[in-house]
Amino acid sequence: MSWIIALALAIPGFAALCLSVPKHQRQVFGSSAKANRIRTYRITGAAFISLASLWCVVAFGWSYGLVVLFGVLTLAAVLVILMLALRPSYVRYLCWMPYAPTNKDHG
Amino acid sequence: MQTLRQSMSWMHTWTGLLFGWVLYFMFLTGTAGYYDAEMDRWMRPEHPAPVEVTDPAAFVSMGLDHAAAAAPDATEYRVFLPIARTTTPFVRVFTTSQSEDGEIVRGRYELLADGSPLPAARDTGGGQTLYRMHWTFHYIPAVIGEFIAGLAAVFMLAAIISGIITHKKIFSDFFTLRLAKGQRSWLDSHNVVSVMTLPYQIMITFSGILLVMTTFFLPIFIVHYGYNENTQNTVLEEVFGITDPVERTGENVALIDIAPLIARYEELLPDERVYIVTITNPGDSTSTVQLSGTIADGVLREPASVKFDGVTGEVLTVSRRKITNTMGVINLLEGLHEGLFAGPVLRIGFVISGLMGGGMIATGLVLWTKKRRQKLRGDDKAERNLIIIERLNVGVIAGLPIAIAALFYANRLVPVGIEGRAEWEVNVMFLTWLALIVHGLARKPQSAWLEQLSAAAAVFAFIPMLNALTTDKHLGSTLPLPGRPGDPDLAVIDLWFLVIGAGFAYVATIAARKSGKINKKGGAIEGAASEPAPAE
Repeated sequence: MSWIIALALAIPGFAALCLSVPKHQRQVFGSSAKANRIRTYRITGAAFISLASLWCVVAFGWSYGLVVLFGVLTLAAVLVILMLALRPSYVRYLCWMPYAPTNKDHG
Repeated sequence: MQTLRQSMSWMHTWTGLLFGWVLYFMFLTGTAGYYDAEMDRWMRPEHPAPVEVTDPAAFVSMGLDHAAAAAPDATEYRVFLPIARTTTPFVRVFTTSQSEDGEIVRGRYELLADGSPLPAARDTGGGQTLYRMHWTFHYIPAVIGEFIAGLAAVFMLAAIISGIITHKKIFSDFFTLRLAKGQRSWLDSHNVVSVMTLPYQIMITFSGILLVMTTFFLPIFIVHYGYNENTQNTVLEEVFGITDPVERTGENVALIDIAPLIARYEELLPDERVYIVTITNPGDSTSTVQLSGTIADGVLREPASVKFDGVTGEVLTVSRRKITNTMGVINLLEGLHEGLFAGPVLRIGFVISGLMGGGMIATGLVLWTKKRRQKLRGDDKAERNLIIIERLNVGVIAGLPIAIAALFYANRLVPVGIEGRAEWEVNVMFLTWLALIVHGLARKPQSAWLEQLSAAAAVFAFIPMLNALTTDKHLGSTLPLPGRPGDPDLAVIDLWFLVIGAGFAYVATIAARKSGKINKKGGAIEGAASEPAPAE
């Protein structure tokens, strides 16, 4: 269970970081959408990864937790990359922000 | 004048190629080693269920009774309790004694919970042989093997560092994986598997060098400790705290009752479990009893131990394995390398990282040939060399997994009782590999890739079925289901074979698509087999 929680925090973290890159955002939401919400995605991503790290240390202790953290981060990042390569539009569901950004959101 | 990045790129290319095949072998066999204990059990299906330690004192007394009966005048008894990942999950008893002409005689016994000896299994090297060959290379003397492993690891570290410098956009291309784009896809895959597991790769390589340091850095030890027969002993004593035996006085004393000592140990070290019990000079007035924990109980690998007077039971010393801070760093890195502390889930993480390390080297080797093929300008000699490497890549990269599978087939199929059976299992593995390398050289690379990848998928997927046909410890009985505990340690090995088989099947379909044997939807193209494969 602790592992699932750690992955449930790390996957949205990497998905959000992935969406903070303009070219990947176009892959996910379609080429017409302008890159936006870069900072929101970046902060969301960093926050989720921090939470995942914190959770690993809390749930598994310092020494074991840090090793688990590296494993979780690797697995989560690989999942996000494979999703982006094979089913790019699904990445939006990985980061719990399942809406396409509109031009109103600009800024 | 070359820029730093250009020279690093050159270094990455050539250090990678030079030891690429050796490192690929080390990564795959080493990754298998994360399941060495489980594979040991898988390969000895005759063995009964593992011993569960319910009462440490009773198990230790049982082991010591056995030792005392087997070697009454030994200089040392050692009992290992099967509490953590050990080579066999049974009570192990070791005795050391001296024969009359001064020769050291060692005894080794494995016991079941009721004290009866472990029944003999088929003659096999087990998972240990597969695991150990990732640094000993099996057929050559261990010292030379260790030196080659150390050298390969140093080149690997150089390749990692130069690779990081060469990689232009490590952060902005972090998520970039463009598929079905030829050479670009190979580079992206190489980057992704490397960057995703970078902390693991650096850790495993650096700690790998440390693990063979007494062989690889021998000159350093000689400079500091002098070149004589005592060098190794002095180093072991000073750095690792291993000391010479104490002369016995010859005064006979009864063996002390172990139960109160274990109670005292648990009181002094509430976090530690008793793993090893060592009695030196048993039955003598100089006798000592040392109780130690296991290095598998934590990432830091610093089990504590308590040494008791073997006559009075008085506590002599309480010590941690960590002697110096340097030793602490070495303990940590070696602990991370071996992953003994890892639970079942983290172990899967270690295996995935290790396999991705193999994938990193494989994609790197293929990329090397793709880049050269592109730059080729009608130079016959360069092309001939390139063709050899392209073809060797097939047999080495796709052939090795099949050869590892062959080891498991040999374990089940080589007749029990033939001379040197354990060695024949390994011979079958390497002969298979050799045959596949020859096959790769003989066939066109594109066909050879497809054939060997398909073969890999088939042979791995079939191992669990072979297991079911030849033993009663197959997934049908080992898989934990509601209402029965099963045997997860054995089931996990069969499940990995299925997962690896599925992985190869996926890669083989990609290869089939590329060679035009099947269309995009996966249907066979009629008559494709007779048509020449289109050039890339």
